[in-house]
Amino acid sequence: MRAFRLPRLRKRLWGSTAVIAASGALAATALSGVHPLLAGAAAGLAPVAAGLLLDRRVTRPLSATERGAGIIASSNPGHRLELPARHWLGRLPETVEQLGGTVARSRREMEEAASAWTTRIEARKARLETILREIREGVVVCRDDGRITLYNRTARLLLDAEPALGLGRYLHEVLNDGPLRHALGLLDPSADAANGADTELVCATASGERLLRCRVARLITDDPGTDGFVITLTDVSRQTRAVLRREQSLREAVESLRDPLTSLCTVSESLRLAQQAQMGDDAERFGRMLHEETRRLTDAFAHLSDETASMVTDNWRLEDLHLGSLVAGIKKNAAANQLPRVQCSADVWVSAEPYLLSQVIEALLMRLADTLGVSAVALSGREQGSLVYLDMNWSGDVVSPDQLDAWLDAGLDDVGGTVTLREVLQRHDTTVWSQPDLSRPHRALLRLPLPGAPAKTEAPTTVAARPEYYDFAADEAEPVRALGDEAERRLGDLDYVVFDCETTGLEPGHGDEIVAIGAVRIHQGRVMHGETFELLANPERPIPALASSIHGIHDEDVADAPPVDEAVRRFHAFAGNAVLVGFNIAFDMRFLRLKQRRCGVRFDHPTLDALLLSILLHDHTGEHTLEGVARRLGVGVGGRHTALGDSLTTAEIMIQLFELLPEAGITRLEEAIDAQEKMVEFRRQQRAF
Amino acid sequence: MVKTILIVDHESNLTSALRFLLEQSGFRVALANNGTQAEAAMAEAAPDVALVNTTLPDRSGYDLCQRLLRGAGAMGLPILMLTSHSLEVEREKAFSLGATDFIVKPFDPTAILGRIRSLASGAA
Repeated sequence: MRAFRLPRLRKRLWGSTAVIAASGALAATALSGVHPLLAGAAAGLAPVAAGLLLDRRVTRPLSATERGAGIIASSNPGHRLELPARHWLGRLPETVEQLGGTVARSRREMEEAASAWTTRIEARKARLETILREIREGVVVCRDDGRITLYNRTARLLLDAEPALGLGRYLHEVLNDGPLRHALGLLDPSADAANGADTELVCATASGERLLRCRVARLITDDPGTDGFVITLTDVSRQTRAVLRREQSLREAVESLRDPLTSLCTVSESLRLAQQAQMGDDAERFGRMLHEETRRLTDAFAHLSDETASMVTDNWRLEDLHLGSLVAGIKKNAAANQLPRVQCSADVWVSAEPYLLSQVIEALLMRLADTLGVSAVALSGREQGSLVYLDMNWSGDVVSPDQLDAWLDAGLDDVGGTVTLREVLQRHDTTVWSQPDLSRPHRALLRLPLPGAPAKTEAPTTVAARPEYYDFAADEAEPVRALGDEAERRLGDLDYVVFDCETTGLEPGHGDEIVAIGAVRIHQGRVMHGETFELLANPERPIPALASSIHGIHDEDVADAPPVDEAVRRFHAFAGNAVLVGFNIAFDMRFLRLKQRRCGVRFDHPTLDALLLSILLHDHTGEHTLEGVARRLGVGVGGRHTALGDSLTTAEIMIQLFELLPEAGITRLEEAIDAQEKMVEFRRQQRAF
Repeated sequence: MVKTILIVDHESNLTSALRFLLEQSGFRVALANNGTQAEAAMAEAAPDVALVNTTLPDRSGYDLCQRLLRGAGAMGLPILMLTSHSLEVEREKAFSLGATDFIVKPFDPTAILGRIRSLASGAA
């Protein structure tokens, strides 16, 4: 602002000087007939007085009007001009204020319209998010080219083994491409989901960890270029495995009957002939064989019978089930079903067949009400080892074993009485019993152990940071892939993977290895906290005590971790084609690139170094540690001394740098890389001296 | 001339009973529990027909079938494969690999005797 204002002021001053000089000349002319002394004095004072008058009535009001107009235009349209009481500007200030009022009104109307629109969008977004969250299936929304634009929490859980899942990444990096491409090809390009145009497929995830049943439908929007497709995902790995196991068991069981049956037929025919020919010894021998084969047949039948029973169990859909939610469903219908009042505190997950388990719980509650007159039951769930104990607790006596047996032998009404409570429990590998509540007198409970569901999320591993380290030679031998369109794209529009490695030491060329990799994605200028990568790696060598003291990772922590090569491959998959970002990234890249040939991958990604860019922007200070840079840019440092924590901090720093780099004339990737290379050269020369 | 039948199967009760039935029907019988014994028996017994289980303890019955057919003096040896697999493709596989006949367990003893008689009478 100052740069623009100075010339104008200078212009005003020149203007005022000219007016003052002219008024002096006029005064001298007007007083030409007066005493020369007086005339001289008057002629001398007149320009000064005129100048002062002009300054007060014109120059100052004009200056105040200019500043006020600036405030009105840039920040506060309702601003009142701060003018002297008297001025010669006529209606100019009033007109400026009127213009300000008009601007304010327009701005207010625009803001109101924008606000209403934003509210509508937010409401739609919230509704969509709620729907997506509540949907049991995984949902992924993609553009036509397969780029992921949205996914829900279930999709995240189903695809937890897929490092490539992320906004802006491609679905074919996450799911097996062939079946997906085939299914998309089957869809009518002009028909959308609303017209029932969808198709189903069964597809493995890219890592082969899961088998998913997918339903794909087109999304046709009013906005050109944003058409795409939505895909819902259901995990069928367990069912598929169960079906395969069932088929295999059935085949083996049937085949196991063939040999004894064949022998039985043949031996009995031989026995008949031997008896007919009165061959006593042979008849006795065949009699023994007959007995043996009959026993084999009996054993084979028993095995087949067991297999058949387990097949029925496998046929059930055991699901990971939130016990509290299941009981909430029962409570809703409690009054209608004449159940006791139910209080529930069961924030635990079980592996169960949802419908039949709810039927069993309802049946037991109903029996408690009918038989024992129980009016209120407290349900609670408690995890212990691999089991979850569901306790139904009431005020009163225990249920006798005989009585409970009778309840368990009754058929469940809602499945036509064909399945008893006992069978349902057996198929969950469990039973139920009644006992006094040992912690509270005069209370009893039914205890039903259930198989616990696998943990929903793994506890994050803890790793530590490394010391600052410079290595300018690291990139020299490794060509980076040619920049395509991304070179010209704005920095804030690109996809980045910000990462950090923890290591056994500083010398990858001398046997030091990676022990942990942490990473997070940046998509469209946002740090994607839900799209992170964190993996310990087994360096297959002892971690020096010094290194452990820095990052806190010890030999026992990595004993069961995947080998470094596997960790590097998985990180490569997570990184995809994104621009890699690090804090002193040369150090991390050197470790990765030394591994790439053995791992069959290439780390030829463009890279940005938050450290170098920070030095570039803030060369007035020598404080360029991660904490120092974070503090300067107002970024909170969370999870310091973990690979993921440092990655997250670096990512937040990068977001701030994106805002600041344009001031240094850097707006595009190519410019950032150029500036970075110049910094490297500069530091190299500094080092040489 | 008495024809010789080689039975290659590790089901001892079955082979004993079959041997009895075949001997009662006028055949000479040689027994082998596995592929190795079967190859030795080929040289010793010079069978006119071989009954081979598709699954043997030491190798696949199909593998033995091919080895027997490749062996000296085995040209045109009728081989009846015995199998516990009822898949139609098993039959195709057996014929493709040189078997003359194919029978799925469990079988009727009189039916297999009939097949063996037929094969033996066709053998040189």
